[in-house]
Amino acid sequence: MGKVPQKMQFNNAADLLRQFSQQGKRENRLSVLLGLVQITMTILFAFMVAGILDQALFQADSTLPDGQTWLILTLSLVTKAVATYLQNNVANQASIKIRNHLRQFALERCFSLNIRLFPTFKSAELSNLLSTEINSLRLYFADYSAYKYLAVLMPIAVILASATVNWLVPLILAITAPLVPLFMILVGHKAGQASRDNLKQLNRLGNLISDRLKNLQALQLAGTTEQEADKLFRRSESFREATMRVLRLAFLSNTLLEFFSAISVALVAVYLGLFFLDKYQLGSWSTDLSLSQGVFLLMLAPEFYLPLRRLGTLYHAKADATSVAEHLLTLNQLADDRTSTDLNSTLEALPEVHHIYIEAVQSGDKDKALHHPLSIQLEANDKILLSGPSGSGKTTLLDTLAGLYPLHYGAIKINGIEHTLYQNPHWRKHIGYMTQTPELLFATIRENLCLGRNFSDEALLKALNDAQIDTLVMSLTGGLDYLISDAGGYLSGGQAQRIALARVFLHKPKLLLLDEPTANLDDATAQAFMQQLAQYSEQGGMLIMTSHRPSDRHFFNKVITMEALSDA
Amino acid sequence: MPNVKRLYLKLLLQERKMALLGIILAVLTAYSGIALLAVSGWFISAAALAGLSAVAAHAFNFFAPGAIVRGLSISRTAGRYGERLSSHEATFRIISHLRANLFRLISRMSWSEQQLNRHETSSRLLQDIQNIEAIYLSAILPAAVSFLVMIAYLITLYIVLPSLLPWVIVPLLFATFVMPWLYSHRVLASETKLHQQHSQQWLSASALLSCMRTLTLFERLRDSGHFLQQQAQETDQEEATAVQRQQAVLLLTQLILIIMTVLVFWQGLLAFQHEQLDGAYAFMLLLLTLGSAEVLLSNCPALANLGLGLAALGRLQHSLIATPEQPDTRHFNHTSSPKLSVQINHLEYSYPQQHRPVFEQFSAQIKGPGWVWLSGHSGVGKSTLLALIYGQLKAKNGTIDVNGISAEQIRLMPQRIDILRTTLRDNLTLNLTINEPALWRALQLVELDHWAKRLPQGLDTWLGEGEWQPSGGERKRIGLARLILQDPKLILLDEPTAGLDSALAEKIYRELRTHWSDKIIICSSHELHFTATQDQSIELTAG
Repeated sequence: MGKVPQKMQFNNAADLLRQFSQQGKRENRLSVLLGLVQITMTILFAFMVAGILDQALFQADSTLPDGQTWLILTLSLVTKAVATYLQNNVANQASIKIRNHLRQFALERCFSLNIRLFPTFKSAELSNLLSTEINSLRLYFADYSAYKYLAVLMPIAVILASATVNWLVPLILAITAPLVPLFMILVGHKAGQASRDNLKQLNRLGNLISDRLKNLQALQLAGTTEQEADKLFRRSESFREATMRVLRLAFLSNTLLEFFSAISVALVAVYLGLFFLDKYQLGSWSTDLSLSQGVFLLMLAPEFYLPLRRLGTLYHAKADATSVAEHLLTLNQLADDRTSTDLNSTLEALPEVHHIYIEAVQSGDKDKALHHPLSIQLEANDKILLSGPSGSGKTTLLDTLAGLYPLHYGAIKINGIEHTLYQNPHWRKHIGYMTQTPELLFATIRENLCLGRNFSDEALLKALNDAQIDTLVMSLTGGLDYLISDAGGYLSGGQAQRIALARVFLHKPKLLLLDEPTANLDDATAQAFMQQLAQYSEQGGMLIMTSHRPSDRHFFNKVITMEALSDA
Repeated sequence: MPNVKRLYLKLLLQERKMALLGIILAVLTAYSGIALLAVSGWFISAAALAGLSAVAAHAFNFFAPGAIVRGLSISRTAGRYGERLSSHEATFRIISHLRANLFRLISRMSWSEQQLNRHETSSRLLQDIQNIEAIYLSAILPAAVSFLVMIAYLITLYIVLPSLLPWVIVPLLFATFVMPWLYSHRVLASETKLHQQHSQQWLSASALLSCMRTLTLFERLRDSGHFLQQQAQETDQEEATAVQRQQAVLLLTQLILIIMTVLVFWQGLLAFQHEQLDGAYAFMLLLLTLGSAEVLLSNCPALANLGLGLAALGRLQHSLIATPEQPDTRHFNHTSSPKLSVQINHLEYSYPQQHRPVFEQFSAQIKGPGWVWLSGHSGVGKSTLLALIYGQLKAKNGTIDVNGISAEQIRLMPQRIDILRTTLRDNLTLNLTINEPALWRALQLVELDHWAKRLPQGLDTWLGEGEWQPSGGERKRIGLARLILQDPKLILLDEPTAGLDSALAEKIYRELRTHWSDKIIICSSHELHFTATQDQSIELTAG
């Protein structure tokens, strides 16, 4: 599998789709070739049928055709069937290949997203993009790219074949042909817009459902889930109405196509019938049109429209693909912002951290700092409490120190040298950050603790003990191999938090960043926990922590009070 | 447990008019499509033969067939349009109903009963429910159409050339019944697996995205990404296999139909030579066979689609599987005794995952109104006791007698306050009808009124993921405000002021004491300095 370049530039959604389609170029060519084989076989079949009819029906001395003729007739159908089989397989292979690249690209972009940008892209939406939406491009990449060409080439083949016997029939076909793309553009444009709106609605409905299920407890506790179900039904219904609007347009464009194809088949049939009844003598190259030629023309007429109709059904796939591509573009843009502005400095490896100086730092967005500038000196054994009212930016400051959020004001010096912490992998080795809401993976406790590294059971138990959670973990079925599910499963908030804490302890960072670690603990447990922290600090660790608990205060050697900048 | 398949059937019957209309129009479309081809074939050769055999041209009314051809082409187009609209309408209506009903059923289950996690449940409600459309749209509809087309084809043959019937019956039966079976047999297993893998893919993606911070900090993002990509590649592999198998069966079906077509053509010409059949009909039969074969071919995946739809229904059923509910161990006596009290007798409880029981022979007596403080170290069972009183968990043994209060008058504030992604107003009312002054009064009691006024759109500001995110302390207070608005008689609070600073907590407790003076409030907290002298307290100890 080829490597997807880190950064790609796209002009628009169509450009993105085109660039990725390149990955399946070879397969697409083969697919077009196989499509041409099919149409050739169709023409051959029509030719054979006409010949057989001529010989068996229309000649005065009617004879049945010989075995060879029957064989060619059968083979033309069989070859066509086999070509269809091969074409579908090849096209699907191309589609798989392209989607694979697309998925890798989307993942890469996700990973370089700023953590705080996440809210702009809801996690349910992104999961949809990474799985369902990219999978939904199957038909587009499999067939659309080939039929774009085949819809032109196959009708041309039909016109050329029918032009060998008559000029009026190909003319009838050629005249009605431009109507098809015309209507397709007219209807397709509108359908594309409606389809994008529809996808947005589906996303909104999906977000609603996953949000309500995630927070079902609030509704259950209020006893109002029935009303919510009614609301959900109404939303689902309005989604249905929107979908039907899209489908009405899509079906309308298909119907128009079918209408034209039916009309032109009828026209050809009526024309031929009248010709043979000597009503007209127009259209034939010679003065006479043989019966077998008439049959040949009649059998080819519907084939003229078949690829166009196929393209018509694929138009829906194209509209869907465009809206997925637009999602990808947004993702690409968001991720791009970061790459261009924040990753300019080359990152050098950090030596052992002895001393950190946080100099006139303000956390927050580029255009809006959250608090007054702060300066903090940190050395080994330092224990610092961040206090301040809600909304003064305590969590944002911890995010910034953890390198999850860019620093726009002030500087952070490590051992006297200024460093960019944001997205700095070297820095991550030195810190342990426990967020306010613990993030536990759907995995065993062991995997949640180790996170890819190897630790002995003793080390794990020691860490669990340090976080005051060992007794509980050992009482669970499976102990360390207990599978955590659904944001903690049977673990309470406090318990989940202590597992996250054990994880931080286990990896022995130099600097511990703790966001409200004691909020859910009782006094005795909190006391024991603070004792552990003291021990950790005595061994040379640094500590920055937020807490609302007044009894914790005496434990720290510095208390930093943060003041929110009032809104101007 | 409610049966999802039965529910689907009920909904399908409810939508029977639309569904039937869809089938009728689909059959009409198929008939007129095939007839269009056949009649034009007949018309041209008949016209030609008429001309050749020197029968007077006027004897042959060419206008009639011409009109038939036009009529058929229009009816085919209109039929197709109407069919698609009505069949999709029916399907989507069924899906809307099913989605709301399932949500209703799921929300009636308490979380201890639910065996699936929320992510999985929501993926089922979103994705599996879409697969259900296959049952009607890609199984019932094409099967009905192809069956009726086959019957019509046989009848036509019977009228035109009965001697052909023995030649076509075997390939026809093969194409109509055996091939769909073979298709389903070959493809269903891998398609089912593919569906599972797709929803697994979604789950993995959302699991990854919900732990971005941790994964970033521990440099696990790439590995998780690789895992996701690997999973996707396995899915792709499965998809390739499924497509290959599909196409192979379709190819086989096509070969059978080709043999049938050539046979019909050959026999038709033979019959013409033996003067059993008009020549025009021989050509018409060929076109008729080609048209019918196309319809039969498209029916091939019907049975497999039925299987897929049913499997999706099965998975939805699975989301309703609950551990058997135990009888309520609470007894309510709210008519005869007006005095509020809660009596806990010899309670026994242990979590299914843990060996250690949480309560053994636990008894306590609570007399109201007033505040009761639950204390004890973390994990001793404070939250469990509250959930037992609330009725969310059911005790193994023992009883809880609640006097002067009905089951509907108990409300619980959990440790984690869920914030819905909707407006602050809706987050407070939670679908109850509550007037504006009452809302502001509740916000004032929990000291959130100033905060709410400062929000960009006040009460109509959207909260939740991707919107305005309330801080930990604000969440807690929103939880308290909800309880104030719901106005229960027995209030269970689980760590209501954890994470709030003491001065604020003090103030809120003071307000609540006066507002809730006639209620029982059982409050688990580690901040016992808020206790007043008249309060009761229960200390829980391990075991």
